[in-house]
Formats: sequence, C-alpha cells, structure tokens
Amino acid sequence: MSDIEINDPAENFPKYCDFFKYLLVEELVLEPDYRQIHYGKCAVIGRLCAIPDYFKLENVTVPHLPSAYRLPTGAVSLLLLNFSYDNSCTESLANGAYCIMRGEVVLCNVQKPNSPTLTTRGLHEQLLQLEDNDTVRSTFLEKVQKTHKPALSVWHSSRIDQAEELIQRRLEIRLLCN
Amino acid sequence: MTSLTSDDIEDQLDNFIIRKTNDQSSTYVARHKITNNGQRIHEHIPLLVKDILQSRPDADNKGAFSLFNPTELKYRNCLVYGFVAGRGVHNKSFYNYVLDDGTGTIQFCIFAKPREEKIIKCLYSEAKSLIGSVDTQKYEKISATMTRLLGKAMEYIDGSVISPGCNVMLYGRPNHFRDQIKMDVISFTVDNDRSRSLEIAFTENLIDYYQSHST
Repeated sequence: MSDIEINDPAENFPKYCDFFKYLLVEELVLEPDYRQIHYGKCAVIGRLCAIPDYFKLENVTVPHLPSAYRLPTGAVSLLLLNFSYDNSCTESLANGAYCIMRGEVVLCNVQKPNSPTLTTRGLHEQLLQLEDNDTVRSTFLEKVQKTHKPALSVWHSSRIDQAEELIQRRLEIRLLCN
Repeated sequence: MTSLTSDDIEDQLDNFIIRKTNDQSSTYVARHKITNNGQRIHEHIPLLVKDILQSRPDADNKGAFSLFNPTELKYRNCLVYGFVAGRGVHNKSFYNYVLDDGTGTIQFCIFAKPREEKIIKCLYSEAKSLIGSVDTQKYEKISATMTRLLGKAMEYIDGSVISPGCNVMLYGRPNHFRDQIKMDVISFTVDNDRSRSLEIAFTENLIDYYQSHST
C-alpha cells in the first residue's frame, strides 16, 4: 500500500442526484452561487404561470416558515423548459394551477435562446479547465451568472390540490433525512 | 343596538372554540409482534425508500429486516408512498416498476394474480348481463353499482394498471437478492387524483412515527 494520496479533482464535483428530490422554487432561483445549485433530478411544487412565449413555475408560500423567510405565493418564479400544454401529463393544467413538476435542473442561457444548456457539474468542469487564477474564475462565474438562469427541464407534470400542505410535509421529510 | 356584522360574529365565535393542542393529537402506532427475547418486530411501518435500501436481513429473526434511523428498528412488512419513475422488465408472473419517494429509488414487483383476476372478470360480465334479462328495469341500478364496484376492485388486483407517472402507496416486504434490495408488493393503491390527501396523511404518519421513535 502506498501512502500517496491521489487527488482526483472529479471527486469534488457534485454527484448526480438520481432520485426526484423535493426542492423549493426559492432554493433554485435565489441561489447566488451557481456552483451550489442542485445537480440532477428534482421535484418542485409550484403555481404554473403562462407567459406568451414561455412557462414559469411560481413559488408557493410555506405556511410554517418563520415570517422572515416566508415569501408570498408568486414572489419568485423558475423558468420551465420542454414544457407545453400538449406534453403535460395531466388534463386541465392551466395558467394559475398548482402542480408538481419533475425533471432535471439546468442552467439556461437567456440571452441566446436555443443555445446548449449548462449544468452545475459542467460549470465545475469549466472552472477546473481555467487557469489556477481566482480572478479569471470569478470573472467567468460572473459572466455565467449574467447570461444564464436556473431552469427546470420538465419530464413529468401533474396538477395537485393542497400544495401548501404538501410542501410543508415534504420539507419535514427532508429534515428526517439529514 | 347596532346589528353585528359577520366579522364581529366571527370574533365572538373565536372565543368559544376550544383548540386541540398538539400533544393531544394521537400518534400513529404501527402494529408489531414481540419475539421471545422481547424484541419488537413491526408489521405495518411507514418507511422512506432511503431507509429500506439501507436495511439488512436480521440474523436473529428469519424474514425480518433491521435498519438504523436513528435507533435500531426491526420490521417484516412496511408501507411506502411514491412516484412511479420507471418500468422494469415485466414477465408472465410479475410486473416490475421503479418507485421514487424523493429520498431514493427502489425496484418493486407486483405478482400477477390470474385466479383473482378471472373471478372478478366473471362476476363483472355476470353483473353486466343482468341488464339484458327479463326485468331490465329492476336490475339496472344493481348492475351499474356492481360493475362499478368490480371495476374498482380490479384496480387493486391488476398490476398492469400502474404506469410510469402514477403515484402509488405500497404495502410489502423487502427482498434481499444478490446484494440488492427490491420490494415485493403485497397490496397497492394507485392515487392519481388531484387531491393529495392520501400522500399528506401518509407523510404525516411517517413523520409522527419517526419522531416518536427518535425520542
């Protein structure tokens, strides 16, 4: 056995989340550091908002959170990709309906539509390729943060009732897992 | 005297409502058996997929499993609620699917029940044929009710009604095979309505249970 430690930089990369982890719209939209954004599958509960060109998922108030952290429903919204009424899995999904969306988190370039999307891991890889220079890295990060926005590539959607209560229970379950 | 507006009445009413305090609410108690040496083995315990995947066959009790979260817990059968994320390879005697409850994914299999299916199908056509008989009017209502009931019963027997994208609640036991944990389903319920009452009730029981266990 050798004592040499092999430092594989890939070990520090975020691991792909292989199950639909329940996340809040706020967690994805309000994260200032894109390197910390969830990588992989997730399930998000929110209110569907149809804007002429695209769809968004608005946050839903979490009733039991301390008032300092509680946002009113519709305060922030997450961009939805690959979603339309035609490929929605339930009937009667309409503007303003509460729903649960399952899919994958990506970083979408909002300045150049239809350009390839980025993931949190992709961001880490690109940062690794840059020189070991903090200023170069931070300018790159700033650039990405200006052009890209977190978005959800939707694989499955369904309309639900009791959205607030469900979010509450799901948060409590996450506490049990820690 | 001025008449009270509805708001005022509500204020008044508020004083008369006795609120149930939290600690008075009942917590879920799973059914369990106690073995000779005083160990508790649970029978209907709500669990998270993450914990089922971490459970190991219990050496002392055949057919039982044990897991740690946050203390040791032994069980034989459990309940899970989740989203059907995928389909495995089906075969003649069982259906395979992948369940995802937001904490992990597990494969589960539902055994086909050809005998029960046949009986229900026979009864179904018998109920249908009542309408064509002599007293059609007399049997119309009964026939409609019977077909509805038997149609519903079929949903609980026939594993092929499940498809990816469904929400299901499963009752079953883990199956440890080649270092992989799968779940053999004893009974299941499909919950695809907009109402999330069942899911909320399940998670509430699960949270109650985990909390009562950790103290």
